[in-house]
Amino acid sequence: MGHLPPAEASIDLTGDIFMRRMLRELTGLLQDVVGLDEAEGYINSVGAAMGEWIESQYRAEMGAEDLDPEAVAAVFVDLKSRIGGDFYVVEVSQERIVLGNRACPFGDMARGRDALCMMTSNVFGRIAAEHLGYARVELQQTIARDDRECRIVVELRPDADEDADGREYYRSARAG
Amino acid sequence: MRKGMYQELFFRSPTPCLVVDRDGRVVEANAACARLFGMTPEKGSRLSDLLEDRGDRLATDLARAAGSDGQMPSAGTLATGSLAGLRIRLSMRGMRLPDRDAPLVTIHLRENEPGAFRAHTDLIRRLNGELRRQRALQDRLETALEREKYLHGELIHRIKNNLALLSSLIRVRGRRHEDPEVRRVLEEVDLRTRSIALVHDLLDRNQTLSVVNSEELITELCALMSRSLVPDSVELHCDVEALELHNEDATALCLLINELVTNALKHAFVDGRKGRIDLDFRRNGVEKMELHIRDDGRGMQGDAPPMAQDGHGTGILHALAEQLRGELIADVDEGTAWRLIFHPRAPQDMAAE
Repeated sequence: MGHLPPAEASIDLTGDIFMRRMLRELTGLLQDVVGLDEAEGYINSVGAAMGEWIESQYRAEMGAEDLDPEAVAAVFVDLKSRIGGDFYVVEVSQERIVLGNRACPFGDMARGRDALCMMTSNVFGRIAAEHLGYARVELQQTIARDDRECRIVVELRPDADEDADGREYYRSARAG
Repeated sequence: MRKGMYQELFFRSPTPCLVVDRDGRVVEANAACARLFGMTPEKGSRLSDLLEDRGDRLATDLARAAGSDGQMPSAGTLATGSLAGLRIRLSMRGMRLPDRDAPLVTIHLRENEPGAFRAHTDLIRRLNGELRRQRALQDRLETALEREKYLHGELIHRIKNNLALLSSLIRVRGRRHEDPEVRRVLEEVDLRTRSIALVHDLLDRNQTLSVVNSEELITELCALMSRSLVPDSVELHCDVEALELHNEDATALCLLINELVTNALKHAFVDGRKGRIDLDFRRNGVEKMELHIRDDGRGMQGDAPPMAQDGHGTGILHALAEQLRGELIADVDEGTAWRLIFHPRAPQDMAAE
C-alpha cells in the first residue's frame, strides 16, 4: 500500500499559519525566559515600529492632514480587518474611542500570549497620538486572556489621575 | 507615580538612570551613573557622548520610547569610564510632564551582568592587593622571627658559656682556699651555677629556645651531682618520666633538686653512713607534675628535722617551690621524703617553639 502524496495530506499549514505559529512560539519563549513585563517591552518596541509604518501608510493615502477621532476609529477597524481581525466601533467622541473585537488577527495563537496584545496597544496608540496629540490605550478585555471578545478603550485626553490604567502615547517629534 | 516619589526613587536608585529629552540631551542623571561612566553626566551633555550608537539603534529606540510610557529595551556601548567598550542593555520609558511640551525619556542602564563582573573584578583586585600586603608582612615577620630566634639562641649560648666560665672561676677559687667552710660554700655555689648552666646547655645543644626534656635534664643533673657531690657510700637513683619543661620551670626545678639532694647528703648521711637517695619525677594528673626525693638516712633520729637545720636552705627551697607555683612537703620519719607538686608553665608558652 503506497503512501498518500504529501500534497494531498490535510495539513493545517499555510504561510500565514506558519508565521503566526512562529510568532506564538517566539512570544512564548520571551514570556517564559524574560518574564511578561520584559516580553511586553520587546513587543512594545516592535509594535511602535509597526504603528509608525501603518500610520505612515494611511497618512500617505488619506492625506497629510490629521484625522478626527471618527476617522481614526475607522482606520483602526480597517487595519484590523486587513490583517484578519473583526473590530467594530462601540463609541467615538472627542474624549475617547471604544472598540470591540470578535476575532483576533493572531487567531487561537494569541491565547496565553498577553504580550502580543501590546502590538494592538502600540499600533492604536501610535496612530491616535500622531493624529490627535495624545492617547491612553486600555485593554479592558482581550481574547488572549480568554475573554470572549476584546474591548479596547482609547482615551484622547490626558487624565488628571497619574495612576490611571492603560498605556500612554505621545505625538512624535516629526508630527509635533 | 507621584512626581516627588519618582524623583526620590530616581536619585536614590542604585541602578544608573538618566533622563534625556527626545533629542538625546541629558536632563538628569543619578549618582549611580558615575559607576558606569566614571563621572556623573552633566545636564545638557549628549547621550551619544556617553553611549556609542552602532547602526542608529539607540537613536531609533529613543525616538520610539519618547512616544509612549511603555518600557522598551535597547542597547548601547559605553563610551566613557573604565568599562568603555562594554555593551550594556538599556530599558527606556517615555513620560510626559505637565510643565513640558515634549515628553522625556528615562533610561535605566542594566548593569547587572557587567556590574557583577566588575564587582568581582574589583574584589579580586582588592584581595590580590591584600594578599600581596599580607605576604610582604608575613615575610617581614618571618625574617624578624628568624632573627629573634637567632639572637635568642645566641643569648642562650653566651649565657651557657658565661655560666661555665663563672663555674670554673668559682671552682678554681674554692680549691685554692684554705678554709674548708669557704670551700664547701663555694662548692655549693658552683653546683648551683652548673645546675642553671645545665638548662642552657640543653637548650643550646637541642637548638630550642625554651623547652627542655625533663628526662634528659634530670638524668644529667643526677650524673653531675653523682660525679661532684655524692660520696661513694650513697647511691643516687633517678626515675624520670620524659616530659616537656619550660626553661623557667626547668631552672627552678634543677636548683630545687640540687638543694634537696645536697640537704640529704649534708644531714641524712653523716659520719660516712651508707644509704640511698631516690628521685622520681612524673606527671601528676593532667595539669600537674610531681617530684619525689626520698632518702633512707637518719630521719627523726637526727638532732632536728632537716627544714629546721638550715634556715637559709629552707628559704631557698620554698622560694623555688613558689617560683614553680607548687607546694613542697616534707615527711620525716625513718628517712626524709620531699614531695613537690607544681603547675608547669602553660603549653602555649612553649608553642612558639
